[in-house]
Amino acid sequence: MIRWLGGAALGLAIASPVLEAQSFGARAAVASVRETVSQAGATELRSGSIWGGEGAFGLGPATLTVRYLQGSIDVAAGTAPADFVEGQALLMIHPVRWLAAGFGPHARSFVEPGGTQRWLMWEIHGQGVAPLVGSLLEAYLEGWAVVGSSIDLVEALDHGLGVEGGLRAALGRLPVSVRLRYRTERLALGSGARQETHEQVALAIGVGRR
Amino acid sequence: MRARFSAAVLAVVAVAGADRLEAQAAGTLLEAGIQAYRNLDFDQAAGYLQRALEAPGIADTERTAVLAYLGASEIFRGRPDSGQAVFRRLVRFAPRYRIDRLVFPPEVTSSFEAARRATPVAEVRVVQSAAFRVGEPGLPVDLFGSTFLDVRVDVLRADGGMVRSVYAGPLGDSLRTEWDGATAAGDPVSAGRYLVVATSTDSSGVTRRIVRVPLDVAVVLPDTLPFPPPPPDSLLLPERTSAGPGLQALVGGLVLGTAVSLLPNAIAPDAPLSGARFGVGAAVSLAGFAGFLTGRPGRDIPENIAANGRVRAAWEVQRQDVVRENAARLRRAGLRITVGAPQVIEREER
Repeated sequence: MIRWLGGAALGLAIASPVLEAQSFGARAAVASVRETVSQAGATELRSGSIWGGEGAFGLGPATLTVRYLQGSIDVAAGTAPADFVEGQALLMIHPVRWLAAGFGPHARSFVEPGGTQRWLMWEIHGQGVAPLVGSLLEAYLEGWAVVGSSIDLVEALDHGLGVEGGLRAALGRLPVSVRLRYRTERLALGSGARQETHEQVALAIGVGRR
Repeated sequence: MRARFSAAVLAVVAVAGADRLEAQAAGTLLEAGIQAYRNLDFDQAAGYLQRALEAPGIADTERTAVLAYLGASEIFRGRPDSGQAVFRRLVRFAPRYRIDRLVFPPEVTSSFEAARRATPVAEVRVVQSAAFRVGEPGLPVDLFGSTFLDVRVDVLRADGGMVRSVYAGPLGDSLRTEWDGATAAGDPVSAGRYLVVATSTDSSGVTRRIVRVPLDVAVVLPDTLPFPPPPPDSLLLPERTSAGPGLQALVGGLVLGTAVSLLPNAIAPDAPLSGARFGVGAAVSLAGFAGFLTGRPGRDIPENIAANGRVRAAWEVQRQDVVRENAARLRRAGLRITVGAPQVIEREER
């Protein structure tokens, strides 16, 4: 026990200069989801609301962002809503304030009475930031591409692209931040036989500047 | 030829020794006068002494002795008023002189004392030159009184303007006063010509004598510190917004807002996208416009103004320190004073 405490103290002492440069952020988020699936000339539209939370931990020029949202979406008229769960982890590096690049997994699942459809995609991201009012308000635009996937569908994922943009605001000197974002994701499967378009408008409010 | 040479040598010797012969003449007349006085031949003594007074080149000590014996002779000639007049003349010439009671009888000494009391004048002595720092013990001005009197010592400019009152009060036998080289306000005088004026007044307030001693004052200024340079522009932050941040916000907001609105269509051209992208895109564009308004050119930047104010205040503190230090150094300026010959102005005897 004493060894464990001593090791922890030593670890804190070594890490303290690094921890001084860190920052945190945690927000509650609510989002409106709209999913369009086109296959064999037919188009299926799903929509609903999800909620959850997101957090960020920054250390120097690196930021690790995690996001988890869940809810139910209406699949088709006359059928029971499907549960929708989405999670994402993304490690972004900011060489300069207005530019960042990152990589991370993005998971999504639909839980329907007939079974569960799981998506796991590995994405590379690029982000540009435009400061609008000092450090209080900034706009950003982020694009990504899927570089690897594991999907329990018959069709394999050909390619996937996404774009997200929105506003990040800090409320004066308070450690309160607000995020508004819109994202679109286009996934092509089965050599173009199936197209899925995922739209999401989210509003997140929380503490911290990250 | 030989006779001519001898005559020339004699002429040269005669011219060169003329002053000495004159002095010897005054001294000889004084000795003859004293001898006649001692022989009680007061008329002859008065004659010798009168001639001694008129002899050119008579020394001060000889003049003093001549006047003393002349005054005594006049008294013994039955002319006390004349004796009094001679003694007053003696007192004015040498206020510090005291008649020797072992040499002169009481009727003479009492007459001299009466003349001394009736002639309240001060003798002023100032060193020929002095060098000192302003505020420190400076130019000594020594006063010697013939009797008890009031005296005032002032330093005046050459045009008569008052610089400093050094002393005003009674004077008994002697008194040393000093002028520290400062004006009445404590500032060092500037270089130029000044006067030390000593005014003797009797008990009724009548001015009896004014002695004016000219001073030639040179100021030796000490080295002073240079002022600190004002803060360079590189240390100052811009106090008004430039066009950059506002335009950057406007352009950034419009570009990103447009991208948020249009890029979804680019990656999903055949999808029935919702109109939410336009709403978010419009929000981004409006935020950019708000950024332009808050960062528009010419607006004061209070934080930067405050920061620059602190920089300037720190510089002003340094500058004031130098100002104070330089003022202190200038107050301790050195003076070199050359003293001229005094001029005595006497009140006419009635």
